[in-house]
Amino acid sequence: MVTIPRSRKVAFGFNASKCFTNKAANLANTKPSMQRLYIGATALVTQTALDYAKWTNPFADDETRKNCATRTFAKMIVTTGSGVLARIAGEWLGKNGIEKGLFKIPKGFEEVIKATYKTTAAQKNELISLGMKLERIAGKNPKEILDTLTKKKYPTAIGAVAGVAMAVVSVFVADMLFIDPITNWMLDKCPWLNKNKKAKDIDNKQQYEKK
Amino acid sequence: MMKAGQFFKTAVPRYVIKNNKGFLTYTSALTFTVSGLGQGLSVLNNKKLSKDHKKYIFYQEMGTMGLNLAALLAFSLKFGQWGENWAKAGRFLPNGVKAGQVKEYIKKLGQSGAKMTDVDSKIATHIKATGVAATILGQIVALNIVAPIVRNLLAGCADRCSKKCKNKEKFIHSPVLPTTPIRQDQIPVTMFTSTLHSAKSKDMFESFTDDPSKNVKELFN
Repeated sequence: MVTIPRSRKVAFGFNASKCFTNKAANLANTKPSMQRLYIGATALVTQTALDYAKWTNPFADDETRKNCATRTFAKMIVTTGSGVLARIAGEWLGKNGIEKGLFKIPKGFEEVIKATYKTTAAQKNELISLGMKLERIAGKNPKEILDTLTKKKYPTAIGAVAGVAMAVVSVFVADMLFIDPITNWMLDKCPWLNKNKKAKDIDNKQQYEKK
Repeated sequence: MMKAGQFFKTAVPRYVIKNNKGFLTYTSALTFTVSGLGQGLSVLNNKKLSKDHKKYIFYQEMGTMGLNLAALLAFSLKFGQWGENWAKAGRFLPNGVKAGQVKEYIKKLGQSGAKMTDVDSKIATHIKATGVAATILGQIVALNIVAPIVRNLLAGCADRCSKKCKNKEKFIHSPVLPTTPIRQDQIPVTMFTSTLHSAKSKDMFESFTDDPSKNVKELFN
């Protein structure tokens, strides 16, 4: 009998928890746009399926369930799209606003950073988790490291705030204007979703053939 | 008092940096509430939906709004706390960190003036990251699984209740008397016309004479 060496078994296996833990540091700074994308992408699948399935939507008749599922699908595309785009725009504004002089880092904000990341090691670690290379940090003194971290952190934070503010406005406008036209368009274009429309089409066809 | 500009420029970014999972949770709750209001208004304005569907979907939207808010606040932060507790208990550790070092780090947190090492900062970031990841997972469970199921059940119940109430109102305002269907051939006018056109009546009219008394006798025989 041929036995597979232990090292090879490990090489073929996929260790999900190790994969998660080694990449986890990046999640500490999850941007609102990415968070909205994670929620929206999963909602597109799960919410549509839950609205369509009879055991999770038991009181509605077949046609209402189809209507609900179609509407949920359209809703998820519009809300996720508008939410993610608004947040990305806000984050871009936060990042570029400081570079172009629209905002300034308030005085004493370094103290906030220092209170959160108490040691230089913690500040260095945070810079690495934000994507900065180790060589660029190596020669710097503690004050420079704190300045660099403040310059990295403040635009991200103000961008997140601007992104959410823009998302609140855009979501309200986009939800009011686009969800129903898209739902109606989908119901018109997909006859299997709309029983009444399908019956009307058959009637029209029969009348045309009679003539 | 803090001005609005200062609040958005310093206080909120400070909160984002210190407590990212709280920021993600509360802002999600805000956007989902606003989104629910927008969707409710759009349903009321939709001309293509039938009245019944409109009502059902409106209930669903309002249910979604309230439920999203409740589910988010109940699940999201709780999941975040569980995530942090798991990381503090020494589970899901990154490469180069041992469970014993996590315990030491937690002890150091309680001591004032304890020196933090590189590994400690790595553990701190890891705990924070696990908390954020668990918060997002909690949001996915709350918004995409729990809230839709509960809202469908609630919307269905609300729709049924409103239909029942409507039926009751109809019954109160317009009582329907018990009636039996009337057969067409039993109506007196149709009975008379049908007898006039029957074969027997034709023969009878032919046998009529000029004497009216005879004719009457003929009719009732």
